[in-house]
Formats: sequence, structure tokens, C-alpha cells
Amino acid sequence: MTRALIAGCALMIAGGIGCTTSPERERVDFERMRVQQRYDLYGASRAFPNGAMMQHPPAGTVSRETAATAEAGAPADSLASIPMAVTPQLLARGRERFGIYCAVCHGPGGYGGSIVASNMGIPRPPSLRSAALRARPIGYVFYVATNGRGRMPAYAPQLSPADRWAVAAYIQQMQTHGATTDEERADSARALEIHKLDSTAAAAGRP
Amino acid sequence: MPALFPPWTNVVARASLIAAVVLVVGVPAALMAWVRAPNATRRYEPVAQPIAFDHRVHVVGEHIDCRYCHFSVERSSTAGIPPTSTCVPCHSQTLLGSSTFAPVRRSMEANTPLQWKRVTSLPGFVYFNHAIHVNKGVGCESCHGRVDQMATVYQAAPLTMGWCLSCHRYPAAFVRPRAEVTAMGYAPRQPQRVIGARLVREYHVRRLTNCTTCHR
Ligand code: HEC
Ligand code: HEC
Ligand code: HEC
Ligand code: HEC
Ligand code: HEC
Repeated sequence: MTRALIAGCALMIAGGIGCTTSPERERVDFERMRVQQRYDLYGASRAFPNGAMMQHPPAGTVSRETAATAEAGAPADSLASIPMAVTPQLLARGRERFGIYCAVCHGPGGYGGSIVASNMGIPRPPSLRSAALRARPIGYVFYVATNGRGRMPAYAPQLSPADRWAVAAYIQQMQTHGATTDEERADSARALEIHKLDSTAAAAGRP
Repeated sequence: MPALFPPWTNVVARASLIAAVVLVVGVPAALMAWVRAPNATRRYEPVAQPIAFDHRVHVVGEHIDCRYCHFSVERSSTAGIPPTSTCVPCHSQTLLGSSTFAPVRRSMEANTPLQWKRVTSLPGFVYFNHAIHVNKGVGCESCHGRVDQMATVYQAAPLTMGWCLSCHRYPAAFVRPRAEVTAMGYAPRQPQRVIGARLVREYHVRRLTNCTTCHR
């Protein structure tokens, strides 16, 4: 009985020691599942000089999405009409996208009276309701959304060509009537205020 | 022959029985509780970033929608972190010239990305996709908490498998109208019971509890 116990203990100890010192045991790495040997989006990479995993496509790359629309062919900025049916769905989509990407600077009503605009300094985002813009073909709105202009960055990464046309359609529709919601009226009022402040500053010779 | 076990061994036997129960039941229970505790899931820990980017200033103060910066959230698996070029146009020259913005200027000049630290992150063996959640009416708030009130973003949910499943088993308790996915502090206009059931039907929300949904 005692001998069997001692033998058992000795075996267990030997087994334990064997386990802890064998090289296989040391190589068991539970983190390997959690942190796998692959690149995740937005990860770092040593393979590229700028240290990022995600790289820009080479200059001059044409995406298939772009190639399939008017953007690739005739210069869009001279297009006088929207190259798709202007449906209530398109306008609703345009309104939603405008609210996310454009209203931030140009204001929810397009007057240019957003909070960002009041904080950002000169040059500020202009009103989208100006006579000058209305005189331009609608393709110009699409063109500026695609390529940016002045301080405004290009929104091609954020908005697909169809979305940019939807936004253009919404802006065109918006230009035909004044402020309707409280948000739009506030935008209009703030735009006036900013304009007044800027003109007094300019008169006083400050930038 | 004297008794092999003297009377005091009765106490030892009882004590070791109790100890065995504690070991077998208590230790695993304690470990299971520990892995779910905020300490182990790294919940609520603020993460120091290269720039003191404040969501409160941008989301509440400036009325910027989440999707303005995290613009791939509706169409790709990742929400995405905005490139440095996004940060530049909106700030005045004075702010851009300040020392706060030094990392942004350096990043623009050297054409190297800002190295933001990950806050929310799943293990490599879990598949996750933002687009499906957002398009089926799961709000950012349900998983990321009130980002609009965070000076530095922290992980608001435990991100354990049980947490994912608590919603996957009964999504009707969480879905909201698509137009409200980025809203913070959302309160349903009708009781969630009514609106949830309607939206689940409208968006065809399934109950995805198969292992292969997330482990593939
Ligand atoms: C002005 C741009 C901007 C806006 C608007 C914005 N974010 Fe962010 N967000 C960032 C940047 C930059 C980071 C990376 C720095 C950090 O983690 O603080 C980030 C990080 C995050 C993270 C943590 C990411 C990680 O590493 O896991 C979450 C979650 C997040 N944002 C959610 C939101 C939500 C929800 C909203 C809308 C309420 C929002 N963001 C609006 C720019 C923005
Ligand atoms: C849509 C416009 C917009 C975008 C995009 C934007 N910001 Fe801002 N940010 C602002 C405005 C407006 C302020 C407030 C400035 C002020 O009050 O003078 C601000 C303030 C800040 C401040 C100062 C905060 C403070 O405490 O005063 C920092 C830092 C900052 N932004 C960083 C960033 C970074 C980094 C990014 C890029 C991920 C970014 N911002 C993107 C508009 C923007
Ligand atoms: C169902 C839960 C859930 C919802 C809803 C959700 N997220 Fe996430 N988010 C996560 C998880 C989980 C991660 C970590 C992903 C990983 O590690 O692969 C994450 C990561 C992020 C990141 C870090 C970068 C990235 O893409 O991995 C940002 C930024 C982010 N989310 C923003 C948002 C925004 C903005 C919304 C709303 C439009 C949103 N999330 C909705 C769960 C969610
Ligand atoms: C608040 C609710 C909620 C939470 C939390 C949540 N999900 Fe989901 N998830 C959903 C809904 C709703 C769907 C869409 C079901 C459908 O397709 O009908 C979904 C779908 C998915 C899909 C299917 C994608 C596809 O392409 O089939 C994956 C993968 C997924 N979720 C992973 C996760 C993971 C991983 C977590 C935890 C980190 C998580 N989810 C947390 C609600 C949630
Ligand atoms: C809704 C998504 C989802 C589904 C469905 C799901 N899992 Fe998971 N699973 C996760 C997440 C997220 C984790 C990571 C948890 C963590 O990091 O703590 C995980 C972790 C695990 C782990 C590792 C636990 C650990 O300690 O690291 C195992 C094993 C696992 N899952 C098995 C399963 C099995 C078996 C099923 C089917 C019955 C399943 N999972 C279904 C999301 C899911």
C-alpha cells in the first residue's frame, strides 16, 4: 500500500517535472490565437515606408465604380442636368448624406452658418444658396464634391458617385425654397452673424 | 492493532471535503467572474492617444455625425479611423499652429499616418462586421456607449462572447430605426417592445447564434 503510494507520487512528480521542462511545453502560446499572424485593416506594417498596412492605389488608378458613371467621360462640371432620375428616394438619400458630410460646414440649410464654420476662421465655407452657385451647371456641385475646392477636401472617399449626385440633387432642390425647419433658420441667422463679424474685422484691417 | 486513523483525522477529513468543494467549485467560479470583470476585459480604461482628440468637442459641440469621420462604418467591416487629411481643413490656422496639433503637422509633412492606439479590439479568432449591425439598426451607442461624453474613448462594453450573444439571442430589445443609428442618448418614441418587434420584421433581423457567425 505505502509502496504503491510512494511509487504513484514519484510518477506524478516525474511527470510534472517532465512537463515543465520539455521544450514543447514552453512553446504552447495561448496568445497566438488572439493575436494572429496577419495584417488587420488600419494596422501597422514594416513592409511599407510610411508604416501603414493600408496603402493608396497608384496614381491614375480608375475604379470600376467611377468608370461606370459620367465622372469618367465628359467633365462632370459642365453637366447641366443630373444623369439619373430625380426620385423622392434619391432626394431623401441626398438629404441624409448632406446632413452627414456637408451640413457640418455648410450648415443644415446650406447657408454656411454651421458651428464649425463660425470656429474655423477665414476662408469660411460659403453659402450654397448664393446666386453665383445657382448660375453654375449642377455638374459643378458634383465636381466640387468629387475633387474638393480651396480649403474643402475631396469627398470622393466618403461619397460614392451616386451619392454625390443625390447630394447635388438635394442641394438643387434646397435652393428653390427658403429655410423651413428650425435648424435651417438657425443656420441662416448664424450665417448672417458670422458674415457681419467678418466684415467688421475686415474693415478694421484684421484677417 | 491500533486504529489506522486516530479520531482527530475526522476533522481533517471534513475540512478537506470542504476544501475540495471550494477548490472544485469556488476557484473556477472566481476565475469565471474574474475574466468578465472590468479589470480583465479592460473596460472603462482610458487610452492615451498621440493627440488629445476629444469626441465631446466634435460630436456635441460641433454637431459632427459619427459617419463624417468613421465613414466606412456603413459599408465595410471596419468603422475606420479618419486619415490625417480629414483633421486639417476644419481647424483655424491658430489652432493648427498650436503645440496640440504638432503630431498632425508631422504626420502631414512626413506622409505617415497618426498612430492611434486601439481602444475596442476583439481577439483575432472573432469575425466582426460593422456594416451589418449598422444597416440592421444597431446603434453605435449599444456597443460603444456614450462616446459623446468621453474625453478619451474607453471600451464601454465587456466585449465577451456572452455579451455579443445577449443581443444576438434577442435583437428586438436593441434595434432602433436606421436613421437613429448614430444618435447618442437615443430614447425610443414608442415602447421598445413595440418598435423592436416592428423593426425586426421590417429589417428582417435574424437571430444569429451559430458558432460560425463569429468564428469562421
Ligand atoms: C471629427 C472626427 C470624429 C467624429 C465626428 C467621431 N469620431 Fe470617433 N474617433 C475619431 C478619431 C480620430 C479616433 C481615434 C482616437 C481615439 O481613439 O480617441 C476615434 C475613435 C473612436 C472610437 C475608438 C476606436 C478604437 O480604437 O477602438 C470609437 C468607438 C469611436 N471613435 C466612436 C465614435 C462615435 C460613436 C461617434 C459619433 C457619436 C464618433 N466616434 C465621432 C474621430 C471622430
Ligand atoms: C468637421 C470639422 C472638424 C473635423 C473633421 C475635425 N475637427 Fe477638431 N475641431 C473642430 C472645431 C470646430 C473645433 C473647435 C475649435 C475652437 O473651438 O476654436 C475643434 C477642436 C479640436 C481640438 C481642440 C480641442 C479643445 O479642447 O479645444 C483638437 C485637439 C482637435 N479638434 C483635433 C482634431 C483631430 C485630431 C481631427 C482629425 C481626426 C479633427 N479634430 C477633426 C472641427 C473639426
Ligand atoms: C454590435 C456592436 C457594435 C456596433 C453597433 C458598432 N460597433 Fe464599432 N466596434 C465594435 C467592435 C466589437 C469593435 C472592435 C473590432 C475589432 O477588433 O475588429 C469596434 C471598433 C470600432 C472602431 C475602431 C476601428 C475599427 O473599425 O475597428 C471604431 C472607430 C468604431 N467601432 C466606431 C463605431 C461607430 C461610429 C459605430 C456606429 C455607426 C459603431 N462603431 C457601431 C462593435 C460595434
Ligand atoms: C446590440 C445588439 C448586438 C450586439 C451587442 C452584437 N451584435 Fe452582431 N448582430 C446583431 C444584429 C441585429 C445582426 C444582424 C442579424 C441579421 O443579419 O439579421 C448581427 C449580425 C452579426 C454578424 C453577421 C455578419 C454576417 O455577415 O453574417 C456577425 C459576424 C456579428 N453580428 C458578430 C458580432 C460580434 C462578434 C459581437 C460581439 C463583439 C456582436 N455581433 C454583438 C446585433 C448585435
Ligand atoms: C455573436 C458572436 C459569437 C458567437 C455566435 C459565438 N462566439 Fe465564441 N466568442 C465570441 C467572442 C467575441 C469571443 C472573445 C471573447 C473574449 O475575448 O473574451 C469568443 C470566444 C470564444 C472562445 C474562446 C474563449 C476564450 O477563453 O478565449 C471559444 C472557445 C468560443 N468562443 C467558442 C464558441 C462556440 C463553440 C460557439 C457556438 C456555440 C461560439 N463561440 C459562438 C463571439 C461569438
